[in-house]
Amino acid sequence: MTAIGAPSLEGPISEAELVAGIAVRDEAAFRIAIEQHGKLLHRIAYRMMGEPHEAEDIVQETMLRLWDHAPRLEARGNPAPKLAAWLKRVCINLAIDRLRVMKRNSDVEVPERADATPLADAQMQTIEESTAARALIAQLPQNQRAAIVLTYYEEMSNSDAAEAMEMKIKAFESLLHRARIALRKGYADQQSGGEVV
Amino acid sequence: MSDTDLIARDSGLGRLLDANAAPPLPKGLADRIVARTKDRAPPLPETRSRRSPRRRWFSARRLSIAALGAGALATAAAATGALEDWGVSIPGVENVWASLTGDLEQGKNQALVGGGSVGDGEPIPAFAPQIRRSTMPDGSISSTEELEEAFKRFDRARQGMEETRRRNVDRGIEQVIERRRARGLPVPTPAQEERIRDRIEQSRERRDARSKTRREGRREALREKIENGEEITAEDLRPGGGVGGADRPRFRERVERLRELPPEERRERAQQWLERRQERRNRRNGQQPPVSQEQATQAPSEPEAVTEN
Repeated sequence: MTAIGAPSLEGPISEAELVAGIAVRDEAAFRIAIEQHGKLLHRIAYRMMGEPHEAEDIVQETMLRLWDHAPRLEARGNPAPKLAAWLKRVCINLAIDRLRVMKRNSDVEVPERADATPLADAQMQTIEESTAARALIAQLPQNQRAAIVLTYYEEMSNSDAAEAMEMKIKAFESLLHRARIALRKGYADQQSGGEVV
Repeated sequence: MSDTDLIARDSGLGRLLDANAAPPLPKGLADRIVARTKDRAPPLPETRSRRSPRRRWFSARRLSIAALGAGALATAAAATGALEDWGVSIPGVENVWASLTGDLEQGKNQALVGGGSVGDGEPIPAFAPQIRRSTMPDGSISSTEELEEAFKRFDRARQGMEETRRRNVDRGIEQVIERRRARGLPVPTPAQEERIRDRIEQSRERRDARSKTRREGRREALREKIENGEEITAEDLRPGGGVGGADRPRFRERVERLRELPPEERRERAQQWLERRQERRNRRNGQQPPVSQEQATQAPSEPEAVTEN
């Protein structure tokens, strides 16, 4: 579906060219965008949701939003759109929306992955730790969770993370501070045998 | 924010958080996403323009200036009596207050330009004064010539309104097609559009014919009234008033009474009315289909249910 007039995709391609390509419905450009940003989006979505299927769903929806909005993004053009930042923003917003819906519809916060195969001790311990970590993150409100995912896991600077969450830097830092306090408290509770709320 | 606030990677909490490894990107994800683009409808057009706040402020300022300018012009026009000449109604403070406090009877009767009350308290649409001033006779009518002249004025006004209505319908059709096109939805072909317009035109003609028949009936009654030496007032000429509409106050009384009844009784009355209506229809058509309960419960408290009671 390579469109006539689409930018050449040989060699390094800038975000603006990528958006321009997607805007003219160039499938190759779209695939490159998925390849370049898919992993990051999937990591963010997974750590926000704690569930791989939900994470894939969010990545798909994020990329489809890019497909839909590329003509508009390209029209804004100057200055060149920050594609990665835009994608992260959409991904985070989708995850937060979905968490809100899940919270409304269910009390279950931490999805468990079913695995029927017998587990070795080490593997079991890893899974337990992973589950505990997910439970720890899942106890956080959606926005705090996003702040931790972006700054701790994705190692984004506070300003970049604030931009991704469409927040003022001061407000974001305050949110992050509260998130870290909540994490530490949750961790302390876990260690003392208390239940993660 | 201080560095001590950071979560150290080698701390217990850091190690636990690091245990939450993300799984690899699922295979075939790109194919699945690309496949979903095939049947994806194009996004809806933006409903709001993406203008900068500065532009918005300018726009708001322009609007304020325009509103103030229009207000000043209206005040000047009202002061010189120009609006009265054009047939534009300007409610006084007491009318506005009456409409706010619910004292509508007083407010409505005072709101009319050119005198005359609504009679049964029915609100007059915003455009009514303009039409009224140009068509309604100032005093009573006592001769056939005056009556025919009044009918001619009504016909001219009606023709104008029908033209406006026709233009609005045409514009509505165009807007619907335009909106569907903008959303990427299928739009009718020129032939289909022609058929739609034809159907609307036919329906309009049928409605106009029915309306004309009714009108002619009323006009005949009014002519008879003149021939009998009676005078006709503006009230008689108004829709729902005079001949054929003289039971308007009674109708309203019935509606009020109906509203005061308990819901069960209202439903029962509505059912009875539906049955009677069905009987009348059957008599006209020479058949007798039964009235369904569903039909009966559709409009338990519709005022129409009383008009033919």
